[in-house]
Amino acid sequence: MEKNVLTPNILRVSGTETNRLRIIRHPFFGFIIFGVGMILVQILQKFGVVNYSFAKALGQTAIYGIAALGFSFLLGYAGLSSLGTAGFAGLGAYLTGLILNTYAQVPYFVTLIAVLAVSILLGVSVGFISLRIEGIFLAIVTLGLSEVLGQVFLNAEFTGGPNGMRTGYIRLLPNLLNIRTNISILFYIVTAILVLLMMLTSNLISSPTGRAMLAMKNSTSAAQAMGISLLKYRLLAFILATAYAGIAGSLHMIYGQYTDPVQWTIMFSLNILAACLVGGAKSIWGILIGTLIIFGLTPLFFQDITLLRNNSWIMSVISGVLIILVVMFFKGGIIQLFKNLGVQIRIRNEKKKEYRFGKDE
Amino acid sequence: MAKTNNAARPPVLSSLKEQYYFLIGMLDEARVEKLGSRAAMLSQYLPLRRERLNRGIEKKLARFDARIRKELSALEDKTLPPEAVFKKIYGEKERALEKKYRLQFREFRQNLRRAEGIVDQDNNLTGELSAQAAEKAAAYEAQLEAEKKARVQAALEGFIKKRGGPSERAGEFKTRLERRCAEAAGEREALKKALEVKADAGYQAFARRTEDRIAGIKAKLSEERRRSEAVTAKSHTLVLPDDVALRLDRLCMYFGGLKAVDDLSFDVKKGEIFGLIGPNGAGKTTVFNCITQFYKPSSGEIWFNDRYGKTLRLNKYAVHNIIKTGIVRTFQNIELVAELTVLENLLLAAHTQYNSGFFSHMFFTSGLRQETAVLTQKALEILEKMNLIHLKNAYPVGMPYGILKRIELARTLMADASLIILDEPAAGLNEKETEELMELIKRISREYEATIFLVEHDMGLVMEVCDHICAVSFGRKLAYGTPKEIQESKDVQEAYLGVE
Amino acid sequence: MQVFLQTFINSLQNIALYSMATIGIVLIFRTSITTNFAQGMMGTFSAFFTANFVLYHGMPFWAGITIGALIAFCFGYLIDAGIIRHGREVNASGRQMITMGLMMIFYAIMPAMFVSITTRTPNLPKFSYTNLEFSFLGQELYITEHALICLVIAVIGLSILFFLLKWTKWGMGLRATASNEVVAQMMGINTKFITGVTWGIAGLFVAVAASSTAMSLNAGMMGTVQIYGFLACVLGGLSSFGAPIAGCVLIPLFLNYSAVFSPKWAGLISFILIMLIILVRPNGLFGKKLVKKV
Repeated sequence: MEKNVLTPNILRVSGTETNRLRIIRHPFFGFIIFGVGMILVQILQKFGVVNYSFAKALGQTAIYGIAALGFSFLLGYAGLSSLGTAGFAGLGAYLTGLILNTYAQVPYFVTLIAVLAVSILLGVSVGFISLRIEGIFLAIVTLGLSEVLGQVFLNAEFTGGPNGMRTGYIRLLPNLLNIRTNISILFYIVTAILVLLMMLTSNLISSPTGRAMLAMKNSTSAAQAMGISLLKYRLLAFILATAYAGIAGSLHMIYGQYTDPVQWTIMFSLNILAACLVGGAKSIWGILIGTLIIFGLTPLFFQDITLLRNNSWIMSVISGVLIILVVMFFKGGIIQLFKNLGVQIRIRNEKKKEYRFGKDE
Repeated sequence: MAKTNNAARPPVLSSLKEQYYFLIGMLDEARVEKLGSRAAMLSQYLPLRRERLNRGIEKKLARFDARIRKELSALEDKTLPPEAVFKKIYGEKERALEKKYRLQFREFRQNLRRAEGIVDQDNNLTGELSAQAAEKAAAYEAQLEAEKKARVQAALEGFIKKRGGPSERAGEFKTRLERRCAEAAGEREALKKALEVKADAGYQAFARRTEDRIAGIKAKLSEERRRSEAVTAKSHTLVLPDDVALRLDRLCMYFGGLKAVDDLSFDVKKGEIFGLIGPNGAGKTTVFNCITQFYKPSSGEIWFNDRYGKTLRLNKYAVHNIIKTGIVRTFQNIELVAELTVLENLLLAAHTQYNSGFFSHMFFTSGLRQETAVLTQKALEILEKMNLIHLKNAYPVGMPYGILKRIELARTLMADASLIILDEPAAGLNEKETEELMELIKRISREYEATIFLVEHDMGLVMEVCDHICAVSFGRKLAYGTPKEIQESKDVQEAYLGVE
Repeated sequence: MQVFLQTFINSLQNIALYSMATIGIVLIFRTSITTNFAQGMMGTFSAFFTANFVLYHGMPFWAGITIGALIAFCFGYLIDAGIIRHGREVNASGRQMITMGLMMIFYAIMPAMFVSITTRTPNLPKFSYTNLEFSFLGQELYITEHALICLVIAVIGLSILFFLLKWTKWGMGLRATASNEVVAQMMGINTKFITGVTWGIAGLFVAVAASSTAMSLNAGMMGTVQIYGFLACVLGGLSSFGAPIAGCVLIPLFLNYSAVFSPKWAGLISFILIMLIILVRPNGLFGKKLVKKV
């Protein structure tokens, strides 16, 4: 029997038990545990248990996770295809760099707000485009838009062209904190923002907004007949995606203190798409798993294996094969695989019992 | 508002001004709608709040009960003879023992069956055990039973040995127990009272706040509504008579050179069940799409009397605003959202009834929680009525056609519509299902006081349920009247059977 | 005037190149309903073979190209038979992902297979290194022979392809498969063979395009061409096989003419131009709008 959220009476086996379970069942519980785990890794790194490079790569993966979370609104919920993530995230990165290099005294959260504002503007314009163009055409048009931004990154004066752009200190608050050497504080910022966005995403996708987006993905006519304005929700989906991508780009800039145009090519957009599909585009955990697989495997784990470090192409082949296999055989992504596994085990146990004791009774 | 019925079309010259007033009116209407639905939502939430508080009290009492029961039970043990105490303590263990022996027996029996080859691959029985084997099984069962009894007996003896005979101070304990019982009852009452007082105070405060808010909203609402009506009166030049729900006035819809609907006019009366019939390709669904603005009519007007008695010109509304005026539709090929559960599909139809905006969705505010509670309650009630409650958490994929149709019908009820448009509700249903559907349609029209407008091929259904029927062929009206008149109409017979 | 005409002539080679690279994208889009991100990589892969034969085994260039193209044909067929065909149930973005996975695999194994090429990154050979000078409307103009040969190959190749599409049984089968695969299968058309051959032909064309770019060889060399190919498809419209070729004619012209004004921002200007056209005509210049029935 499925868990019934609506009539808590059913859950009431006995008073105390329910209360204990309710905290664990709350979706935020897992997110907070996840955040604590991330912070633990960083603390362990300080004590020398975990590699410095491992902790740093973990933070980088978390940043990509933010972009993937935003992308899930498009792919998993609104059913819109976009290949523009690279441009959106790159814009966030370069804008952050520009502001930090021009006004060194500006605290970081002001920069972040500026990035958000520009991203939202961009999202609105793409959202309007999405009203006229649909499906694979939309993907190609957003790809073109991303290329336009890429041309700007490559050719404009302020970006440093192919040599890339560097930033220095960031300030959390004016005249209070200069942090540059201390990457662990940046790691904590990234973790906090990721967990916060996970919570907001989880709220949104279970709210009427998420429902409206799913309806739009499945049947535009049913959605319209039920009073869902396509314009509003397409705009919303693109705004969310660009805003998340902008945040990710901005964090990427301050975390690595460097960016160049090669980081923001179509490969990045495709990788984000792959992360969503491989993990399972409708589940927050699935997206994180997907991000870990697509972006995290090489820097986190395979870096330590000598054979793979010397022949980096093997890793690429493995990723490619993995993507193909997961997409072809596990429709809901890896998260679906886990869910199915649970069901399979239950069915198997049932079968075993039947074999041993017979079906009657 | 003066009700004048001028059937003439609005003059073209004033259309710009009209458009301006229409836009203003839309904004006003949205505000009115929002206020009205907020007030309704708040007042509907009050009983739910009460219920929630009561549940909280119950939960706390249950916890108290559990604690006191434990205490009393320990006291009681001392007053009882050892056999009774053993029975109390050993009950759970005995059941476990029984289960274990039962499984042992079943395994034995299954092995016997397998030896005789009467079990197939899916572990189904294909025959009876032979008499000899059955005897063997019975003997084994009896043996296990004896074994179990012996074990229980041994446990009892061990228990008595350990504990000794009945306590001499049983009488003393008994009085203590009685005293404690009375005390506990008193405590429980006191706790209950305290909780209730507290909850009541909380509820009263909440209710007062809510009432204040509702009163405020209502005051604003009446003012806004007056303004909105004044504006709407300026933007819509025609006022329908009170008993008409929907009027099509010389509606035309052309696709290139094809005249799908050609100069079609008729009235749908308030509260009736109206049928639109016609041969394949007669443009029936196109009429629906024009009414719900999926297609913008090439020319002609569609007028609608909404639930407040205001006359609206539907041509001006966007598709997604149609449901706000009180019109909801189903689709020919069912359009349920496969990725949402049945319950969520119903909530989808209440999408416009949510007042909470994007940010309250993002931060899961109490406003959203209240609305969700109210609307979920409503959806569950509808599901109960439609006999679908057992499917509420299922996904509408791979279900029988009849059930899908019923879910879609339930979804229309969720929208609080005054006009329900059904596009071929009986298509793909068998005879029994069609009969159920007829009852259902009649019941809906009765209980929800909604006007129902349907397109259907099944003549039996149409003739049975409809009050009035309009027959169309090639986009033109053939006949209009009661089912009887339609059946007798020469034109209709020709259209269906061909000219003799 | 001289600049105008010369720019036009300079665009000819890219027109040929883009047309050949794009026709494969269209064919695959119509039969497998996916944007093939591995298209460029398929071309690059066979260009590596061509370069290997020509530069290190002394084979003549035309023979190298032919063998490279045949290899690409086989690879195309094998990709469809081995992978794409089994992903029929996957949704549109899923199929995109499969081609992306293919792209990653190609990208990774190429440097590993052709170590001698990737370490030196030599230029691909040309058909001919001479320029033809001529005068037209009183202007002195020139065209490279290589470009002319490319153009001739493209025109002949595409003409044969369109002839096959229009008049042969295979072409009819392909068109039927493109419009509705299930029905085509019911009508007794061997859709498996047809999609396989389609992938093969897509590979063949893109291989010729990649081998005749005369650029320096590296694994990512077809990336930009591929993006322009996608944009050309959208620009022309994907509802017919020929429409994207119009896009392929327009895009090099945009690029080269905007380069006349500002070489640095040529890419940006043409991207914006293309986007504007697409916004005005969402279904492409020659596309038709499909109305969904409710």
